[in-house]
Amino acid sequence: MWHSVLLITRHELAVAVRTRRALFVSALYLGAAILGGLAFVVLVRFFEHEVVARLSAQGMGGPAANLDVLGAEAYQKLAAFFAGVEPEAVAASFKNAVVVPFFFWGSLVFLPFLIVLSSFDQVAGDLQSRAILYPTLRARRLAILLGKVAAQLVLLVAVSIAGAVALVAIAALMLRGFSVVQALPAVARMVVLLVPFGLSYLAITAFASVSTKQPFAALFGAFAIMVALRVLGFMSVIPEDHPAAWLRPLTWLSPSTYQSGLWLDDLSGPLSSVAAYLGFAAVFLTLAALVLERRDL
Amino acid sequence: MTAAVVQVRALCKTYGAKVALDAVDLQVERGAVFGLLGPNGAGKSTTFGVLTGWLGADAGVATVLDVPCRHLYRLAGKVGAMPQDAAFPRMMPVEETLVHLARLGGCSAAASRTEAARVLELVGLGDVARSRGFELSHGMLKRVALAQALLGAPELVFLDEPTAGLDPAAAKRVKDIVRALAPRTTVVISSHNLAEIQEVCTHGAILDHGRLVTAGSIETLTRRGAEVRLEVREGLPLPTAALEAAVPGAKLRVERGVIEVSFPSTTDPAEIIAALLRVLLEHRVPILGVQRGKSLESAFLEATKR
Repeated sequence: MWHSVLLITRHELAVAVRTRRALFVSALYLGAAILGGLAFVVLVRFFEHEVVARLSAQGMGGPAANLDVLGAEAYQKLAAFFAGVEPEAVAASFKNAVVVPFFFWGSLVFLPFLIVLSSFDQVAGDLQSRAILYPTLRARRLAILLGKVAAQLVLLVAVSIAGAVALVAIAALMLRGFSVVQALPAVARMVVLLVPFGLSYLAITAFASVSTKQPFAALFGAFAIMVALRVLGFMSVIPEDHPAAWLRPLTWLSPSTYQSGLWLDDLSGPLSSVAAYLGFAAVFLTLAALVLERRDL
Repeated sequence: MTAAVVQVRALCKTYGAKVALDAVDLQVERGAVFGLLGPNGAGKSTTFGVLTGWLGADAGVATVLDVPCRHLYRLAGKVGAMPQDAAFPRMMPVEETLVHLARLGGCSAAASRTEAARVLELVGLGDVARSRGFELSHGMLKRVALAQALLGAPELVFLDEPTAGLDPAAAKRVKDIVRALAPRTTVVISSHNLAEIQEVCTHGAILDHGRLVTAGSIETLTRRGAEVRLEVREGLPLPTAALEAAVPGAKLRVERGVIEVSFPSTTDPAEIIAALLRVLLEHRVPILGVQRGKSLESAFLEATKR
């Protein structure tokens, strides 16, 4: 079966490259990342110049010229703000690499939507056109599903790396004191963490996509599931003494609950979050496989 | 492995309250070109869908080459199918899609390229290999869909309305391909086109209201071995008594210039025809035509009582 998965992944990647929408969504993601990163870098550089200018005005020109704003506490607080955790808890690699945390935060916020937009019809489109009939005589439906999801995952990783590389290049060109070498661990960590994160949303989208022959119903379904899971994430705000406090554990059923763990320096944080995202991926991929195996094509 | 490559027993399928298949039994022998016939809503598309594993049955057993139809992927490369209304991928060059499907069917990378080229040549589309799906006409896409069903020289091929929407030349090419496939490859064709079925099929089954009405060789269905029809000039007196005496044991029916003669299938039709012609010629009755059996259309209309 794995040979079939590999063949389907390769073919789906070739198809995705030729599909305008996939390219459009990728370009949208890259464009947003680069423009957002550029704006962020410009903002950081503005503060850098402001601080140096003010210190120089106060007669502290010498020390100010060597000021490392990027390593300053203010920036670390900014990274913690994106992470939603205490500054001291944020992973060291993120603290040392301006723009990477910003890009990571943007990816965690917007990537689920881009995943839904780029892959909602990965199966539903083939069900509607009935093109799925051609491979089903030659490969297990599970292999078809996994191949399609794997292709989307490869695209996701490729676009994430491309976006991060572009941002790092911008930061290296525009920010003094920005170290590419220091940024690389943060980029690597981000890409590694985005894989299980993205996979969980790809699985949710795949489940919606196999459940209907109408691509737009799949799109609506994927967004509905995401919103429902997001709502579950808010259950933690219910006070413990509230009559509805019994709903609080439902927050663990929401992928968003595990986002803050991805930022933590202590390895148990990211590892447990990765496990949770892989768990979500496994549950939704299993559901998707069961639906696809049983449904009429 | 049994001689039957397709076996269906007590197959049932419903869509909500509508019964699409009601305890259908069917068997397709190796090497046959088997036609699935039936009016709209008879259940032939559902039968076709169940046999290819695209649809699940509610009850009953359906196997292809001794494998449950729902798991035909286990026979990758041994079974091909041409769905009627499935869109062929639009964005990829057809050759690339065919290579991909051949590889899924178990061919090596090099063999897949050769196979893709072979089947495209077979359906007369060798020159559009690099064209993408959206650049081809409906008829061309239909032939590409047929080509993918033939990848890897499968043992069994399912074809759903293979000539629908094709021009006469393309339809003839498809019928020639089907004839050439048998008996090495077993072919199951679902079609409304009775003349086409009669032309290319060796066996057939007629479905109506989700039930199997009759099945057998085309020879049996059209009673070619048990019935002859002679067309004579209408309005002339016929030597009925002499005709009956010439073919003892046969039943004669005369209606508007057509003499229908039914006889036991153990009798040689050639002897019956010779005896009847002798009498008619002796009585100087102008003979306009002789036909063994009835057309499949007549058999179909009789079987479905339409």
